[in-house]
Amino acid sequence: MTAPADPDSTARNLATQGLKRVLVALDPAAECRAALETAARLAAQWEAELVGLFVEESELLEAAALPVTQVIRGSDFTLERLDRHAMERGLKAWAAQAEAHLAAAAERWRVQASFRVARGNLAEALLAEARRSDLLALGTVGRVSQRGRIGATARLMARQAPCSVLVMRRDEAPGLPVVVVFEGGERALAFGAELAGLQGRGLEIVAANADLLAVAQAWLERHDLRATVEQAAATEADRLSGLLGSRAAGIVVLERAGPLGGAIDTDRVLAGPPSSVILVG
Amino acid sequence: MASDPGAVQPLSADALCWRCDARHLTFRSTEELEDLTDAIGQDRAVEAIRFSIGMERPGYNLFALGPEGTGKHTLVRHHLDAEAEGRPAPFDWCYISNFGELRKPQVLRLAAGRGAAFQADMARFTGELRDALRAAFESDQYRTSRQVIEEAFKERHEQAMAAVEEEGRAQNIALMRTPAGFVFAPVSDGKVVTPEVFQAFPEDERKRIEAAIDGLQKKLQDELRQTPLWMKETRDKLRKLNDETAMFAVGHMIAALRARYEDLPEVLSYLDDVNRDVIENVETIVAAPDKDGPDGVSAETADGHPLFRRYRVNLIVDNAGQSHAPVVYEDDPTYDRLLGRVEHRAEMGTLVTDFHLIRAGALHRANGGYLILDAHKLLTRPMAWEGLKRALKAGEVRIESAAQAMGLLSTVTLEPEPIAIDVKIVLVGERRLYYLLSELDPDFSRLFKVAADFDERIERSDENNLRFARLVATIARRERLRPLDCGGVARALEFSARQAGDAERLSTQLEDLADVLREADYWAGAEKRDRITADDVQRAVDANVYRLDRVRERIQEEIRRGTITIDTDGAVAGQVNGLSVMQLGGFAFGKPSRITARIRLGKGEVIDIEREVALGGPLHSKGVLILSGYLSAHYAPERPLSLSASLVFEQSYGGVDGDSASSTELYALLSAIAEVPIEQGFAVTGSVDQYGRVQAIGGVNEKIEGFFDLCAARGLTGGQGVLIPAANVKHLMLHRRVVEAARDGRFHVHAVETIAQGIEILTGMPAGERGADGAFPAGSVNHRVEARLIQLAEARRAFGRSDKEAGES
Repeated sequence: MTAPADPDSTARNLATQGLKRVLVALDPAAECRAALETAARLAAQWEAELVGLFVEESELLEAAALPVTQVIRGSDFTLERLDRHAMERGLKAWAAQAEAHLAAAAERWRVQASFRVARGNLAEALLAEARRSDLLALGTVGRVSQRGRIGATARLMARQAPCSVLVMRRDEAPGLPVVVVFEGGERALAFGAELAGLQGRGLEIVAANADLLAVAQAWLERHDLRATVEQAAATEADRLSGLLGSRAAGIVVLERAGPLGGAIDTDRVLAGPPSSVILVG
Repeated sequence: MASDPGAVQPLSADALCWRCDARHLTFRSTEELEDLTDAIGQDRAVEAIRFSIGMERPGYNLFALGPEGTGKHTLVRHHLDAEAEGRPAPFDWCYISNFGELRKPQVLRLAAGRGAAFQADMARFTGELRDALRAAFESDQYRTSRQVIEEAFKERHEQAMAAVEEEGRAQNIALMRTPAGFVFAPVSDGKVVTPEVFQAFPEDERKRIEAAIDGLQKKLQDELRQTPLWMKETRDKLRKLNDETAMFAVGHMIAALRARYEDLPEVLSYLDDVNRDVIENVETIVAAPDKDGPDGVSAETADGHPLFRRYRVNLIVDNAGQSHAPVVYEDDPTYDRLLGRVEHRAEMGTLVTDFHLIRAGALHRANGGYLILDAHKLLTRPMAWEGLKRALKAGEVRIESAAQAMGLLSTVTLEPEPIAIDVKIVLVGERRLYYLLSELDPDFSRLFKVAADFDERIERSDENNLRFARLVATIARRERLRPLDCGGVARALEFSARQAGDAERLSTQLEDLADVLREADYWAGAEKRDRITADDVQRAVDANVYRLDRVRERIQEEIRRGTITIDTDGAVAGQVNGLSVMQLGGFAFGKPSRITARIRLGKGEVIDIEREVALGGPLHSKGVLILSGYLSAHYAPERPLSLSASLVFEQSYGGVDGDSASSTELYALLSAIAEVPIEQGFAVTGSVDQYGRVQAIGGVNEKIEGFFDLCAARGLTGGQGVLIPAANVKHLMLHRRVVEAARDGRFHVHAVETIAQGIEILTGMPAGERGADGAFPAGSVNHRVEARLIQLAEARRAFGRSDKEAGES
């Protein structure tokens, strides 16, 4: 059973207070735009700065300079010679698109936003920028054929980013609830409550044990919030990953520092019904 | 001429007006009389109405013609209502969406009462449609099914890509997505090799890489070329899923409707169309906004979102509750109100429409029954007559604007399917309209084959008197007036005869009669009587005249003051008082005029001064020319008429027409020629033929009263009177004041048949008949006239001879 979250919770200062910088990795993929939308709404909620980062990957420029490289055009799948200048122009076009999306989201949610372009390795550029941020939002697209882009990078960020990380799938399941795997960190509960309130989703809390279940209930009562609370059916990360992967969840909130949250296989969770993952650091 | 002048005596007072003796009426009050359900004296019209109603063939529409106030509307309505009650209520008519071609809405015919039910059913269906579809499309089951299809596509795509990618990875070649498309590049230690490193590779290695990339590219191309096909398959699957989901959501709703209308194949066909259209548009329906659009502007019209309006029903003719065929009277038969119209609504500065804005016209409402229209109104409303004819000829009503019908509008708009009509049209109008239409419009006689000609007068008989009394009783009851006693009814009968201008006829001008009865009721109330008496009726008539006779009174006043010169005593040669009738609105009165004649030697012409100055009408001119014929044939026929005479209506400043003054002019002329004075105490009316016979004229009552009132104002001498044609005696319905004066011998009305009779009364001299010697007796008017004419002829001959001699010398 899913109880609807109290819409007023979006206006409360929960444990997310003090979050001032939201970084979003920009990419032309639809998943990225879903991440941008959620990031912009959270930034507006926290009155935080929204930073959009587009990375011109140096690997692409190097590949374009190779004499053996040809591009299979996306429009008609024919081959065309590629050179560095053409790739530069293409990346600039991508960057312009990303900037336009960022500006539109900032306008829509009335949030202060800045746009940055970096050149180099995508993961390194994101990690560098994430060090100065409170939340990194990025999309995930598939498992294969996106080497060097965010899909592969998302997994890396989930493991290595020094801040909280939100990995968004396409936002196509507005009715599904936010599921928080609670291991004692109130910030995870706060993230879950705020996302549920912002997106009109229900809130479900899966407590790691009976004690934490009581803590979660007390926390809900203290903040006058409503949610369903249950004890985790499994305490091993492997089993819980499988359970979460098959659960009808819109967003799964994990505590990176927790024994379960840190060990859960985010790929399995992301592979399930439309689920996005937020790892609260 | 075989007249006997001595025999012409003034008419008796009783001959001057028919008086209805209340004692001869068989009732004391109208309370005792039954209502009159049929019209008096309109047998011909009633027969025509019945025939038209019974004749179930095209073109047998009815034109009820006759003067205003003769009860045409009432009678027609009475018969149509009676007929309609025996006929079933007609169909309901709806406009529904034509999903194949939205600008051509379809029409649906349903039994009376079922239209409203169908409209309500479809409104309910539409109201539930979005919720039902949303529930289905937001269900976990649908989401899962959809995701399975989409994931399958992604999976298929990704697997294909992954296979190629994996093959590349085994050869140290990476697949990368770039702004331009997919690129294969060699990697070393997980990183793309730089151009410098690549150049440093041995040539064999470079060739291997080149060949491997070439092969991978071909494979990827082959896979990617499958993508559009997979996408189409996915779309087809999604469409099928949507169709099935929509069918599941609305199928039971449609099925319930089908069960209710299983006896109506047209409705079933429409429901199939609705089902198909819902499925085709299901995604738009589910995504339709609930209330307002994104920028705060309402995305819905007053009746709902346009997408849902298309499933609603526009019931343009609702006969629910009707137990019989309709009888519709359209008071303002404009083109639109007659044939229906397509309205438009202003939306965001533009005019838009849909089939819900189709409005029925009178033809739609009367379909299956009867439609009554005023001919004059119909003909004066632009395009209305043409529109009606077109509908009658085609047997259907096509709703289009007048501009469209005239070919002046080419804007894209609705073209509703025409509605077949079976309606009997009754036009009500004046006779001249009927005759004009018959003459000028060839379609008219084909479309309005039956004429109901209403008579404005009926014969006065005991039977008709009684029916008239019942009519009075009916009006009194219908109008909630006091009942009339028999004296009041008798006076109303006299009023009706006076309205008819004939002592032997009654008027069928029911409106005038009703007015008098209403006003008499008012006066009875003022006198605190519980019944309307003869005095009340008389007072109503007199008061009505008083309200209207300002002009008549002014003219009489100016005559009395000498501004308009009319003598009512003494005798003058060549001068006679004529009488004319003035009609001002609905009020007519007599006006005395002085007519004079002057003569001199001439060539035998009688000059009509009115005609010379274009104030005389053709009938008046004709009358004057007849005088020449009379003179030249009656006096000295062997000699040329050698006078020049001029005739004039003195102080006439307007047009004169009619020949009712021709006898008067002849008297003036004879008096002038014979130099015999005419008594000015007389006034004369009557036309004359070439033999000197006096012929009937119109307005005899008003003319006599006009001269009487002048004489009475100056003081009746007993020597005053009016000469009228004997043929007009039966028309006399004079006011009581004239009758009483005549009874007392203070005023006389003479009925004459010939000029000879008239001239004797006017001059006091014998007219004189031609004797055996061919001459008129000496001392007679005719003798003096002939002698003067011979004298003038001789003078003219002598004048002609001297002229000739002067010419020869």
